[in-house]
Amino acid sequence: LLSLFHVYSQPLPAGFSAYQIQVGFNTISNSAQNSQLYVQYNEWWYRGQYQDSGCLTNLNYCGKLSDEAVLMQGEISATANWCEDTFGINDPNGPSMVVNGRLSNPGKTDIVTNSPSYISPGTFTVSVGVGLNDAGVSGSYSVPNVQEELSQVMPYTSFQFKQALNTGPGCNGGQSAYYWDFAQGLESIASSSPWPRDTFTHFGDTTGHFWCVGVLVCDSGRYAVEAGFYFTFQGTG
Amino acid sequence: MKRANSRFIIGLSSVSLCILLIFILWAFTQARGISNSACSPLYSNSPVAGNYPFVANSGTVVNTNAYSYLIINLSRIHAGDKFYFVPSVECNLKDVKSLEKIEVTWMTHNVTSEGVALSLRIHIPFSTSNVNMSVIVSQRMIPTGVASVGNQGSYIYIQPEIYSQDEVKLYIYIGPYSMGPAPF
Repeated sequence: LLSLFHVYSQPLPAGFSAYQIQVGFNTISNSAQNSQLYVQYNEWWYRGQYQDSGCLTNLNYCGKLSDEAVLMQGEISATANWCEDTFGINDPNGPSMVVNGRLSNPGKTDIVTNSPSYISPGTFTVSVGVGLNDAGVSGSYSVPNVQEELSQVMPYTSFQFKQALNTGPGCNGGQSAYYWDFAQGLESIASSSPWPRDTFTHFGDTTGHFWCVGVLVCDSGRYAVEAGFYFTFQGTG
Repeated sequence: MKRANSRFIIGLSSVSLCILLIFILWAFTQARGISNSACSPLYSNSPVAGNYPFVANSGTVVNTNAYSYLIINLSRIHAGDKFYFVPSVECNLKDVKSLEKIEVTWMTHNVTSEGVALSLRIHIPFSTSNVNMSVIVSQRMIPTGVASVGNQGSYIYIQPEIYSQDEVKLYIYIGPYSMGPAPF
């Protein structure tokens, strides 16, 4: 039996400081099928001069930590008669998680870091403690098969990151839960304030694709639940 | 006899021609009708259902799409306050085909150095789903939350903006995946 304590609101991921920077946290969750299906998307955003590079180990992120950084994390879970879908990265309904990056001002804001850019398929076990400065979700999840795919349109304008967390044959009795994390460093033309000169919008989301193991009690054999953010940084002009 | 037959044939041809013209005209108007009614969003000009002391105003911005909103007075709204809202609905959605009432619970708000941190919960009865959102919003940071509604490509969008020193403008609307943020 999986027990989850969903991250709902945390001030900062570890490694960030509010000194001379703008930093914040947005979160959205979506539950469907009478709360049996759940997805959550979190993003920490950061703007300012902190340090040129560094690692946020609890987000599995190493990269640029100045100008803008958008750190994204998500979680999907299923209970009762539902499991996570099993068709992997090429699931015709879509994989477990998709982050679609669309930057609205090509050439003025660049994607400079994606992290992690690739994780080898295989057993993926995660255990993250809960604390005010932790970025992960609680719980420990063993997923027998992880598939990831990052495609980025160069130079810099858009990207798509997919992650498939597959239950495999072990979900006969329903109930599954996973999390993913992905982070991105951005860089835009500077201005005199701690804000970009030009307005841009960043988009990210997470999708749970689920299947029902109790066909007679579920409304539908397959169900997708999704949540995310468009996040617009208004430029100073 | 021949002349009578000719008159009959000419008369018959005229009637046929008239019928043909009427049919073409009818088909043309039908085609125009289909074109005119192709796609119009559903919306209310007063999307707040009920009277609440913390609602300063409400309405719908309509361009090609429709974006329903309300303006909330932060000094008058408190944690736990609820209100009912009828978000605008784009056309041709499979999950949502009519205006539906949703329940919004104001969880909390705090004014911080980064902006206004606010949390709200939306219960969507027609899809038996709940959306929780917690964001920081300021003049320079506008988050637009997106959550699926149903299983066939419909989404609810939630976009708070700073409206004045003591007011937040909150857009809530339903549309397809590609709809994106409301106009700033």
